[in-house]
Amino acid sequence: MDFDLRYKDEPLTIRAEIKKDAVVLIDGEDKTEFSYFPLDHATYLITANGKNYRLVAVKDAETVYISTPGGDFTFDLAPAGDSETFAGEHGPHGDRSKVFPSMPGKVVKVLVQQGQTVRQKEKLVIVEAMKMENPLVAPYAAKVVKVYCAEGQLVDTEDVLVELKEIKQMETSPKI
Amino acid sequence: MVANRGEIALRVMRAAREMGLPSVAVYSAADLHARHVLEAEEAVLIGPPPPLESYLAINNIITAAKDKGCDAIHPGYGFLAENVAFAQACEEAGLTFIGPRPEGIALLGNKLQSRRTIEQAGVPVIPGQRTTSGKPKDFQKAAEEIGYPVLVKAVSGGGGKGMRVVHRPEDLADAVGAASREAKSAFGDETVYLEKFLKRPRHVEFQVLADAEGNVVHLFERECSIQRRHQKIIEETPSPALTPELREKMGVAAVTAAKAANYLSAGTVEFMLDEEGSFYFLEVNTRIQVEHPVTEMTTGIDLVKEQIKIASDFPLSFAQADIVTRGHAIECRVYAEDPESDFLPSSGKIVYLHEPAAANVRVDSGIYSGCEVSVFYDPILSKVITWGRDRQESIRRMLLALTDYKILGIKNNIRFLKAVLEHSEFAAGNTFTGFIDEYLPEWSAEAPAGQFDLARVAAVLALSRREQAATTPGHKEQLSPVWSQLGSWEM
Repeated sequence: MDFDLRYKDEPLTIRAEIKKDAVVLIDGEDKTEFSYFPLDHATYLITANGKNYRLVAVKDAETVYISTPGGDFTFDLAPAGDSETFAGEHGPHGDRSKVFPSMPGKVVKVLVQQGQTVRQKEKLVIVEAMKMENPLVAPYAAKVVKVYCAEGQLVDTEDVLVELKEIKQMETSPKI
Repeated sequence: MVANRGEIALRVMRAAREMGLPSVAVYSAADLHARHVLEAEEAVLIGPPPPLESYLAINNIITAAKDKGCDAIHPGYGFLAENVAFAQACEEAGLTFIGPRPEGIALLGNKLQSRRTIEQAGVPVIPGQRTTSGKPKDFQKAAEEIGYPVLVKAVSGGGGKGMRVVHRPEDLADAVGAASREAKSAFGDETVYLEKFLKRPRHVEFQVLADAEGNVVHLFERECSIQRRHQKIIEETPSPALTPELREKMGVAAVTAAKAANYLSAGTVEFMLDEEGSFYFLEVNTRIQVEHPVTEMTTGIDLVKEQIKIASDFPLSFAQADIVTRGHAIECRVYAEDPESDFLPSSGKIVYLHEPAAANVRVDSGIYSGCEVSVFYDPILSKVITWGRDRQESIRRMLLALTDYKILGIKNNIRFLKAVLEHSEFAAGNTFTGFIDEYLPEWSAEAPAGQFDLARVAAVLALSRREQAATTPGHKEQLSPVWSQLGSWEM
């Protein structure tokens, strides 16, 4: 059986055979068997090479959260494809011209105006979330195409706050 | 009534319950299903999610307390804990404020005034502004006099909010602006002032208790040097830096400071300790502190119960000589935040929770499996406190407890806390407030070696399970015997 997932934004297919009390991972020609015993709705005792490991695995919405003795893992279910939801400070497919808040919050300061040019790392907007001020900075030297937010406005991670147009090095060098 | 939320609300309610006192919780619309509401005998909705309209809305809280027939209000920490207007409003409404008198909060809450008072009592203070006009020119002038780097601090601040370090004159105006805005939103007062920024200082504070008869005792120190964003994340007692002589000297200074301010209830006298062993008064926190449990672990005194007793006009039942400390205690604050992205707060649903439980391990928690962590409030989730006969034992116990602690669904700082505790400089006791910036900058979790196959197996199991049982609070009681057997294995 194949499980199509994404791990760290890369596609990952897990091929496995599920038996009554064991899971066999199939990697090409290699097969590795892990016996398991469910302890509760989310925890499993897994035995590999005679050693016991306690693991937690929970599926919630489109994500599988896993905790192993060595650390936590997150696998996403649906292949991202051409999803329209923007998250984090960068737009999809590496497009950094649209600036999003990295978490929902309140705009406390808009530091730029439409038409203005900004240097790389110059602060554009300050969003306050959980009582912390988080400045959003320009990823590169750019011209501010449009400002979509105002001070005091509540914003979500899908809201474009500022749109930029990258200025290539030539244009920012001082005029002689 | 407990006018707070999260772990501290639960902590206070538990103390009240132990004393046979029923308590009423308050909550905002965002906290309808928060643990402090679910575990309270009674709970009152006090407003919409933004703190200014709920947990900071004095009138709403006073009205709720009167409606419910409460006699006293415990403010916890943060929110209204150090708000003079709130303490006054309680007094006017005939409610006992469990904390210092309003005058005491006013005097000590204002950092400039408290510095003057404490300095007059003969306790050394950090060089800095004695008054503030709020004018940019005066800030520039004061900063030059003090000498860069300077620290911009909120006059009514605490918890690292409204604070900025400034190394260069050109950054001063921006830092003052940002700090005042943060201070305004967190404390309702935008006034900031400047202070000398000490290099490699330790943060050492003394817990004091003062009763209405004027008896003041200290319960020894806590070292809180491990901080990120000027906010403590690991605290311990005793401090690895204090000699018995220095401890004695600082304890006397703390009691002197509390007496000078005619203090009442539990409070914390904070000092900065420099590399030469000179200490400077920093401020008095007129509230129960987040890190109070380490003192409770080593002294055996329940500080919240003492607060309640003092508020009921009972004199202290012990003298300074009766207070003895035993062993070593450490606290780690568990936050919903991403240590790999500048400790950016994280929010969302906790899909799975397993808290550590073992001898001499205490967890003060405000969360449960399935709860939502909201964006509106401070991202503290819980605190793990361990006690050991010595520092090394409490550190090892903490590392194990953190290994057992599982929080899935939101980003958290558990692995980062472990990285700090495992650092050789921490083990050596070389802690100072810049520790994280110096030893763990740009920290990122190491990929768990050899665990990927286990993770894949677990993913397969989770995905092939037909009915995913809902994660509900209280599931721990349903654990199979195998789990408990595993938990009690010895190494």
